[in-house]
Amino acid sequence: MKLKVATLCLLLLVAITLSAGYVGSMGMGGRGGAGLEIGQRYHNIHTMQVGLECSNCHISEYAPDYVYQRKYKLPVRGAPGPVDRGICLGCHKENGPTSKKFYGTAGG
Amino acid sequence: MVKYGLVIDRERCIGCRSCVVACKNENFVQPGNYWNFVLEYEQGEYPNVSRIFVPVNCQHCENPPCVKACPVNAISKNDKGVVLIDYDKCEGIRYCIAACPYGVIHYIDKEEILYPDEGKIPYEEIPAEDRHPLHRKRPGVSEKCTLCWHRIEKAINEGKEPGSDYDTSPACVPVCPAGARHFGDLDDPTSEVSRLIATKRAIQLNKEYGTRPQVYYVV
Repeated sequence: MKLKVATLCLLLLVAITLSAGYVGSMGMGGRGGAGLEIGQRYHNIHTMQVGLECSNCHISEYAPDYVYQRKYKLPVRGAPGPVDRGICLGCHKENGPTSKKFYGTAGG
Repeated sequence: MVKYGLVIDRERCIGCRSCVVACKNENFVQPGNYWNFVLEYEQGEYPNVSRIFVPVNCQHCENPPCVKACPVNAISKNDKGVVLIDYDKCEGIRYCIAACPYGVIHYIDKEEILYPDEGKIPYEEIPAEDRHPLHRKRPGVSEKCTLCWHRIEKAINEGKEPGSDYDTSPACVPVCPAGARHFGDLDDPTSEVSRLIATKRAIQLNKEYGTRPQVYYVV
């Protein structure tokens, strides 16, 4: 019985190690799960903690005159299709409510 | 203080994509990715319509959100105002892509070649160690326009004035058949770019983000 439990634990440990290595090799799993994939830090913060709905950011299409280089990219990893950039500005501007202030102010 | 930038005359741009091709050739840009791209759309209502071409590359912002968003400090702005990605530090986290309001940063998820059925062309065979460090990209990193920093750097090292001739300018500039692209020092009031900004109606894209782009558009 003890041998069975020990073997099971060992197998579990190997599986965890291998899966961690696999995620790490994809270059997306380091830094505490930092990354843009669903289930990683970026989406976790914006959906679970901030409470944004998917449709708050992911819109159906861009306005024809929207100037954004990746606007024609099909939804693939790294280019998730049309995203309303304005929503980022609300929190991440210079005087916004979050500590991560990526943007300045219009006049600045 | 030197601050290099571009002035793009949107009225002159004919949407030929010469700048796009020159950039891809010069910088080993991954197939499917574009450091420089021409957006186009129509304006007005029939019969008074016009076609608008907007070439977009990294805006080399004075206040670059990508630099702040990178958790591993892989992106920096050098003393000549050029924003660069260090491929040795980049871990492919891609917060820079999410933070950039211009959509100009691209991710390399796997190595791609132009003709997968025929193998690499000689250009693609050039080993990484023979390339400039800014061209030693690999799967799992983000890439973007460097304002052809390898050319600017070479010009400075050789005592030449960046932007003074074909080889000392970003590849996209001298190939423009319409003369719509201009490169130079934005901090030098006598430079061509400063003169254009001062005398024409030049705007920056998405000013509401407060990024203070170093690429101006004459409209």
